[in-house]
Amino acid sequence: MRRLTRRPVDGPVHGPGPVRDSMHGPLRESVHGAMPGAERPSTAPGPGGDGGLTESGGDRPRAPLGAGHAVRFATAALYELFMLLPVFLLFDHYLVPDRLERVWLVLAAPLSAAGAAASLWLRPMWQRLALALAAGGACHWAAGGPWPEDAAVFALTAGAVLQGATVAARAQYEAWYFLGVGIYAVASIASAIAPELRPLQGVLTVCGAAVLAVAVFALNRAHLAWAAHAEDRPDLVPRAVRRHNRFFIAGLFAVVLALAGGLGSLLWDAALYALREVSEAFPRPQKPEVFDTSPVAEPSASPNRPEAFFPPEEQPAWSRFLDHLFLALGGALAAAGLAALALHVRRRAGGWLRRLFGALLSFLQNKSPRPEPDPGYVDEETSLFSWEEAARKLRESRLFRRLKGRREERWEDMPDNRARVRFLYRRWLRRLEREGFRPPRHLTPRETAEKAAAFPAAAAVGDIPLLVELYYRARYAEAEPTDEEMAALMRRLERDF
Amino acid sequence: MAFHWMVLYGLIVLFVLARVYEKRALRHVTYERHFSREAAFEGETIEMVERIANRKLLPVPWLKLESVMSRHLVFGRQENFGVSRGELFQHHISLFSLRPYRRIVRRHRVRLAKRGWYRLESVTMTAGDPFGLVRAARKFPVSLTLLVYPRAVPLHELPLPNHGWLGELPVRRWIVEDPFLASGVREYQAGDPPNAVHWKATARTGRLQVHRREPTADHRLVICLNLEVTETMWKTVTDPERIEEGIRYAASVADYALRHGIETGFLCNGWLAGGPREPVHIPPAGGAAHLTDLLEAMAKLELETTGRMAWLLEREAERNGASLDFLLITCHRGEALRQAAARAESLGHGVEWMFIPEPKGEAVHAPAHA
Repeated sequence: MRRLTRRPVDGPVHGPGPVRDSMHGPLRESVHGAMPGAERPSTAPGPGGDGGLTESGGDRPRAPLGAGHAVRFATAALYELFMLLPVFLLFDHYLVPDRLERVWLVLAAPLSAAGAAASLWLRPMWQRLALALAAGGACHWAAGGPWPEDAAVFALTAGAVLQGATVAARAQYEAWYFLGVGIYAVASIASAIAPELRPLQGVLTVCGAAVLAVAVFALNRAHLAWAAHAEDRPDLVPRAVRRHNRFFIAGLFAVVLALAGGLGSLLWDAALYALREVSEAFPRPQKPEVFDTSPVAEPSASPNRPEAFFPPEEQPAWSRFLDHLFLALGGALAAAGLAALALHVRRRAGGWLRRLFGALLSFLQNKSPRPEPDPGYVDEETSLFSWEEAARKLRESRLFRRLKGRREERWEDMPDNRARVRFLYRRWLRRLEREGFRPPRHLTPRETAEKAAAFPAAAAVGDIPLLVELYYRARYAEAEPTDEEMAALMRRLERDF
Repeated sequence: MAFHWMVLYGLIVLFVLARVYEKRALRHVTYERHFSREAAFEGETIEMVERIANRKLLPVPWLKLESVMSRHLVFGRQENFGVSRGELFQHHISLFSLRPYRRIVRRHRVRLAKRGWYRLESVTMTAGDPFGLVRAARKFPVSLTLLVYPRAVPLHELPLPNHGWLGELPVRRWIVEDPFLASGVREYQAGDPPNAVHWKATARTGRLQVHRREPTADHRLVICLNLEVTETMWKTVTDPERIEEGIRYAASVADYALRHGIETGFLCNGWLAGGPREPVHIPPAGGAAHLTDLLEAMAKLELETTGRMAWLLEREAERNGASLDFLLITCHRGEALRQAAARAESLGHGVEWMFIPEPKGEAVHAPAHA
């Protein structure tokens, strides 16, 4: 998170001075890509001490600003308003008079966008403040209420204009995106605590998820730009890298959604259930039986209530676990059904729908519908995956060996003759150990065989020198004994060995 | 599902992700780099091939390879992969994204802007989680070398003297035609190269005329490259571009001479990169392998003098019998150098001068005999 607050940049909106955009969120880019002189190197913030909110470098030529820039600024302002939605909702809930209902909420968006667009021309801070106060005053006058009661309307509408007019100064930082996440998280906790805010929970969850998604994608994008040393031009990050990262982040986000949507509690319940089962498997110390000597109350004359026979009890953990499991299975089935439906539609579709499917498939298959500009290099990607290799790695993995260690290795598990010879040698050593002969570990296999030759149990096994010879080849020369050699060895070994 | 739970789970996932990538991002990642050719000529384009593989289930969302190499290796569309150029070196970055069990072979097109001996010792690899929370770095030794030979200049562009070279030593045996030995004109014959046409004679006679070249044999050529830009220059070359042009002339003459069977040697008062700081002396010999040796020496030549060319020339003339033809490629004709040339001639050697013109194109041809 080091880079989130790395560089204070003189906001391009605040003056015609140079701007060097180091941040790469989609909205921030759109804002700063529109800045006049965006390609020039950065300078210190303006002398106003407000983080660059004053005019500076007035002698430089100013690039013409157009409607496109105004739209980009307005988009950033609206997104920030979206991030600030919980704050506005809380104000609305507690401060805005009921008679106004939510008219001001509808007004906040256009006011903010207008403020952002106006900031292109109103550079000094005092001009923006004046605009915000004028807009707030006009809204308050239009609301027609008395001053102390409708002060919130004035504050919120003026605040919306000012927020829009100053958004570019904040939108340069990745932290800007996470500010929204923090606001939604705090509001969500507040709504969980305060019963009167509980109806907002759904809105906060859906909008918060969107804000979180934008924030993580923006952070990843900025990080890739940093890694490519292309902080000024994040579009120079190779397209394949960007695409893979997008999939990766989308996958991670899906995992988080699944965890928050029930998988987390499912796992938690499963862990609790397993813990309970384990704890119940151990015998508990018996408490000494204590006889109750208190006088027994007379039974009531009134008939027992049914609740006494079927007392209400909490749903057991395993039952909840099964609930969640079937829920997940149902979800998977529904997803599979949707995929099948999409496939069916694609096969029968024509015209633009088929093209849409084609473009989507190209995107998913990492095929660009448009020819990419020449990047100066060519990439060839090949798969290294093989089932044999995966199986071998699995066999050699620590977990597998630990699981496998619980049962004795078997002749049938051996994949080839090398493994079989080594298996026979190990088996011979184990047999020696069972018979009481423990060969010193520093001896070579041949020395071990010579030393064991005097031991009756070792000699009874069969042709040990042949076994040792094949073992040497299999173990150290990494040569595979032939089937004939294996057959000869098996003939010379004791049948029940 | 409340949003704050989502944030909490997100933080847990981030924490796990950071731990996993801190430990395992670079595990089972292999890397190698090589050039498509070990040697090439200045101005040519070759490929730098990077081969990277991720042999594990964990994908690597970003992986950065950084290396520092000479700025004279010019990459196509450098801005696409973060090449930042300095005065002598450039910082080269390759960014990858590796899926599980994948290998990527990346072929960069590299234009060789200048002759030289380029070495690459190591590459630094950095990878981490997709948000930059943790990073793991490893240094990969690569031990890569690339020889860039000087570009051959077309023979007609060489500032050769106006009259025949080795004029005092013609032989009447048709062993090899000496491009520097013009004895007159003759009529054009099928197979004559276009650059042999003598246009003035053609205009005079009204028929296509070509230069008549005299054959020569049994003479050994020594190309003497003088790194002194002026007579008073010492150590570091003050006009590298001019000397680079001289090296190209030397390479062109060596190439032509060896291809036509003339045994050719090389003498220079510079020193070779990767070797001792001694003057370069390669005795005359023939064959394609010898041409490679000469070109390699010219590629490795450092622009710093180790002694005076006049002294080297005199020593070389005295060491050998009267059978060498010296071609002096130089920027100046100082007194000491002229005396050394005269001394060589007095010993029976042939001496020719090739003056390296000023960068502005003011070609000044030295007289055949100083």
